[in-house]
Amino acid sequence: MSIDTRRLARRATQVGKPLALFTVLVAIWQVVVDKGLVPTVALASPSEVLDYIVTQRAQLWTNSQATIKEIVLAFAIAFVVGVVLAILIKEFQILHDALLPLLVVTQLVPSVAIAPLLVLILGFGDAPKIATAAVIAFFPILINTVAGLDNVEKEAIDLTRSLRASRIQTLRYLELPSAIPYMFAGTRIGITLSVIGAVVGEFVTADKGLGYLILQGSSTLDPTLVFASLVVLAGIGLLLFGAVRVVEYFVVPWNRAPAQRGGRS
Amino acid sequence: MSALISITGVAKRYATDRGEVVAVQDVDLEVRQGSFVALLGPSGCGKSTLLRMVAGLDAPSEGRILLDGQDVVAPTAMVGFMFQHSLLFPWRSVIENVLLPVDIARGKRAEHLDRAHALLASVGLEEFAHHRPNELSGGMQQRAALCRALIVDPPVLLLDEPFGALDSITREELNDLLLQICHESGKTTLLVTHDVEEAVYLADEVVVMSSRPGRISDVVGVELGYPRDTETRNLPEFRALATRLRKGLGIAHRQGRAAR
Repeated sequence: MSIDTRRLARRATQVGKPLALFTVLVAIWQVVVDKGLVPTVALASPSEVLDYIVTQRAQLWTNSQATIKEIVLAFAIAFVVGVVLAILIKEFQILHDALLPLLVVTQLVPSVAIAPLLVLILGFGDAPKIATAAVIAFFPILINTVAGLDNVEKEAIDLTRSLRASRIQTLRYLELPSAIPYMFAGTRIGITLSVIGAVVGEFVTADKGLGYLILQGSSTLDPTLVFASLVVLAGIGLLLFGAVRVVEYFVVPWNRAPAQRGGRS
Repeated sequence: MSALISITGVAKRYATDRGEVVAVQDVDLEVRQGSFVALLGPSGCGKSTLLRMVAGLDAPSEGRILLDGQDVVAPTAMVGFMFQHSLLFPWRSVIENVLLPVDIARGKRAEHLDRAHALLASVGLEEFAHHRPNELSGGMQQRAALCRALIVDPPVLLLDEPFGALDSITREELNDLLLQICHESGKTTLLVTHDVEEAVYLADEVVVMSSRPGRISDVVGVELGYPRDTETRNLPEFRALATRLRKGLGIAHRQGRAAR
């Protein structure tokens, strides 16, 4: 009980300090714009941005929906492809030896630069944006899951062997569950990259979405629109990241807190 | 009685970067049904390797291992294996861990639930059935691991230093528990240990191994009778046996060095 409250208090200061700094920075930003220290084509004040978000919420919401849809679909594809590929790489040595190095090399190409190519292949509409985001997001999910599947204690494998577990059973009862914390580590990166990918996709095929709004605000010299879109985008990113953390909290209860009392012996 | 485990002319060699290492050589051993045999030796003498070969986890380079008359080529359903670490899966509750062998054997959990609870009760863990392993102490984790080894009621128990990582008080407690369970259920048990007292206290036969290469250097019968308790440890016969084994280990060790 007391430990819980103490942990809560520690959490509060953890959140409180960056929040305080953020408030100070926003206040400085407001003052700088109010005093006319920078040209208004470059910077909109926080109050203007907030005002814009409130008054233009319908427009922002419509475009947010488009972006959220792309992010979520892209992330879902990235997750499924990442985890399935990781399992195949774990189960088939030939894929581990032949495919994995190639996948690593493809990561040397800046994924952002692939977006125009995907437009050529997939045409306009949602598909190239989702594909761009999925291509960017799947790799950390894949790599972390592979690491998790590989990182099983040798003795634990011996245990399942002594119980005469099949390969599929070893995967199901031992390797996959022990890879789940790694999977989530990859997923946390993957969800953030999905947001980036979706915006990059919207930059390339600008027809709707928050990325499109940012481009529009930039070309029409409307910093308020750019900032408002950025704020909403940041909010979406935070919410999705938080959602992953919440899911992780419930799916991986054994990895939650250092409740280790007796060690591993 | 007939031998349930029969080891003849077994050797195990490993290829390493620095050439071939002989882990076990010329091992002949018979373990009678219902007996409790301790494999005692210094670390690195190949006793664990020998046990793993009996379990079918490793294949011998030479010789034969028979389990109830059958060649051991892979792990069999006759064996319950216990490792030095409990290896409880942290994502499963204690009772689910105990039921892991049932899941893997595609058995019905419901049919084994009563037995699982009874086993947990017999090791004093009934209240912890639905706890997570990381909420248990090391000794409690090993008790749960013992229940897991017993859940499908295998006739043979192979124990690879299961109490080696525990403190001596917990170890003695678990020794008593193991003795009681093995005798009530008539298991045939092969225990690997480097603890002389543990070997004498538990076994009715102690097999002493020397290192490099691992060979059997002595086989000592323990005629102390059962049941055994703390008083047993104070008996002159117990002490004499322990002393004899200690000396045996010392000599065995020196011989091993000279042979290198």
